[in-house]
Amino acid sequence: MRITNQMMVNNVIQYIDDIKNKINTTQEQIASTKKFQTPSDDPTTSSMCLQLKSSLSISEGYQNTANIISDWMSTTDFSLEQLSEIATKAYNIVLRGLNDTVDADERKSSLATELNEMIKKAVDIGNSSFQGNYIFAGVRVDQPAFIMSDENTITYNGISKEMVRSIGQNSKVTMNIDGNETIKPLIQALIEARNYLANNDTSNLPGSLDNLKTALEMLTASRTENGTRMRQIENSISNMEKSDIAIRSILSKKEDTSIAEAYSLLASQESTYQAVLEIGSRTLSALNLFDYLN
Amino acid sequence: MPTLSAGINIALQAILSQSQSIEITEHNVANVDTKGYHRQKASLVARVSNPSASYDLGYNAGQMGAGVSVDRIQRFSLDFFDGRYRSVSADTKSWEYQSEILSQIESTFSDLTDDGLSPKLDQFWLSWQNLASDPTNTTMRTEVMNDAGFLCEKLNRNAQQLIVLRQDQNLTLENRVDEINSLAKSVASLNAEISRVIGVNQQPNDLLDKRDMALDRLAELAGAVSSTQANGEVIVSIGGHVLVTGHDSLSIKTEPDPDPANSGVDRIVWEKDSSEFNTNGGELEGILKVRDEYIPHQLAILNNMAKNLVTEVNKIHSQGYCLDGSKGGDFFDPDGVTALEIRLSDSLEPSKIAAAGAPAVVGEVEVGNSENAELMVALRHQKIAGLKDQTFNEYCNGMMSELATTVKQAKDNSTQHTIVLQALSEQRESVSGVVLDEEAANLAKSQKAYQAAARVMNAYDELLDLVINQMGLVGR
Repeated sequence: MRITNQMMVNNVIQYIDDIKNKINTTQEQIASTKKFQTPSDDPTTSSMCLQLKSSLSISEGYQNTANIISDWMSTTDFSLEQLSEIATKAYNIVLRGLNDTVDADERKSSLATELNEMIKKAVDIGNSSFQGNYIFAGVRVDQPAFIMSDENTITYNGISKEMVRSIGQNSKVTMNIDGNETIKPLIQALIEARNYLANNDTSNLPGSLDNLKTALEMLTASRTENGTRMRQIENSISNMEKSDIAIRSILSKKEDTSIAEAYSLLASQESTYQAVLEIGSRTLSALNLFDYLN
Repeated sequence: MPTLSAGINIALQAILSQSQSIEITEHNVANVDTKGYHRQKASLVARVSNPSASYDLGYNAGQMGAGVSVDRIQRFSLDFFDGRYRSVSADTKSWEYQSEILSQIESTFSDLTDDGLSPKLDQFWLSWQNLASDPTNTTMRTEVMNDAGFLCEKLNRNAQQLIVLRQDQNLTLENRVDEINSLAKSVASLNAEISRVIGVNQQPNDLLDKRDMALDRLAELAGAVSSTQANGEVIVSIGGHVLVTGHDSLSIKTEPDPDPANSGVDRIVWEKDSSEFNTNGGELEGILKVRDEYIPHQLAILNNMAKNLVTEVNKIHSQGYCLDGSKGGDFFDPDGVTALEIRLSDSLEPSKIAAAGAPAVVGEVEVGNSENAELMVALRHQKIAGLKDQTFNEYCNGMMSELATTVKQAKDNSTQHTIVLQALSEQRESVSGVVLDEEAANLAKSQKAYQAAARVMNAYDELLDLVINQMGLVGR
């Protein structure tokens, strides 16, 4: 093949172009920390990365939900714990009220008053809220769960309905404890007991004692249920976190530049570039026959 | 019979022929870097004596040669190779332009960044998921609206960019059409000159260079093919339609496409009868393919996605209940069912987002109910019939994959064709290009021959001097 002067020049330019393109690609990979800059650089991996990112986003949503619910349930648990304490205390007070050594005046002024305070406290706790939402009001979270219109009437103001939330594609959890079912019996039992004590009606007091006991059992059962749900949530959060870590590591393997690899590649490309330039300059400045003829 | 004057003539012819050789070498050297130049060479032939007019007939051994002359100026070219070269170059340019415009789409879509359609879609679902966990939260409600707005904007932007990209090609088309017209004219006038030069039995080498370059460029632009006739003229045609024949050329023009689907987009027609201009490769084919096939296809996919998004989301949203207990209205404006026009309903505001499901007792307001928001979140995983039984994310991902694969294919094809074209181009260059060393050798050769001829002439001069001045001195 005849090698013409233009061919030599074109080839030198071509070689320089090629190696510069390679260096540019490697530099982009290092600077952007990504193996590819556009989907067309690697369509299959790009598509996979989008899917992985979607999975992360789905998981982020479920984790947000799970965290919110978890806080809500902690508040619920704390409230139920306090209510249980009240129920236990009230039980003891009524027991004391049954004691023959206690007279009518003490029943009314001391024990009934104490119970009265407890009623107020129990209603307050029943109306406790988490981030502005009344936790025992069912789905009517914007209004207090209990209203005491007078000292003898307690009304449940919520709408008893389970608030079901997704914490996974196929995993749902009920986040609320029904105040009507769990807390109202306690308050009613407290009101009843207070009234019997105030009226020195010891014959009906044992019935109150039973009611308080039932209310306490109810509270305990709800607390247990809430606790079970909390554990479910915690497990689910920790599982999601684990799978997130796995997904992130796959994603990183797929799309992130291995810096060490890229740098050594760059170094070898740079030395190739040097060589190409060296050879190019020799080719272009090479003497030709004209230099030797006289 | 040998004569002194014939001898001088031989020497003179030799001097003239060699100096023409030297000039042609100079021409080659001068054009060592000229694009499209084919090296030339003086083709020297031995002159044959004319026996009837010569005196040597019957006297001595014959025939004696009559020196040297330049028969013709040879042009080194691979004519049969040009057709193949041009067809490959037409394909190369077509892929090159396709990959260029497709890459533009890819970079404006920026699918791999957070600004991509898929992340926007993810964000949309995520904000619904967040709302589902806390339906009374105004911030979450506002976020659903914001993220839905961003999703609409992204769809609008992608569609807008595709439409603008289509219209942007008008200017390129116009440039290419002008270039084709002027090249066609110049080929026609070169045809005229070339056939005239060939008619007087000379070689129009540099004119041929010019015409070959024009033909190369015409092939690059639109895949023009040519065939050479006996008189040296070429007939050029594009897509089966004659562009240049003899000394005449036809012209093409751009005009607004009458098809309403292509408003704002120009098409190319033959000026004479307004018939459609078909390319057979080349830059124009690349541009038109992407503009008229790929972009509308991509736009249709985007529109389908927007349409289904509006339908499906509205369907669920209208079944739900707002924060004030009223029934949910439209989420997206039901009139905006294309990617360009998709937008939130005007009546939508944070409190009007229907997150709640139907209340247990009619008329009661269940603000903590997020059943409908949960349904919306579930829509994310639902296979939609209108999206070829894919979820929104799968459809979106498929769209990106398809674009990426198309771009990659165009890029790969462009690279491969370029490699083939380079090889062909090297073969062409190898025959027709100038090698300075070779020219130096030729120059030296011609120079020596010239010097020798001059010496011969000198010898004859001395002979004549002997005959005229030295002979016949007896008796003087």
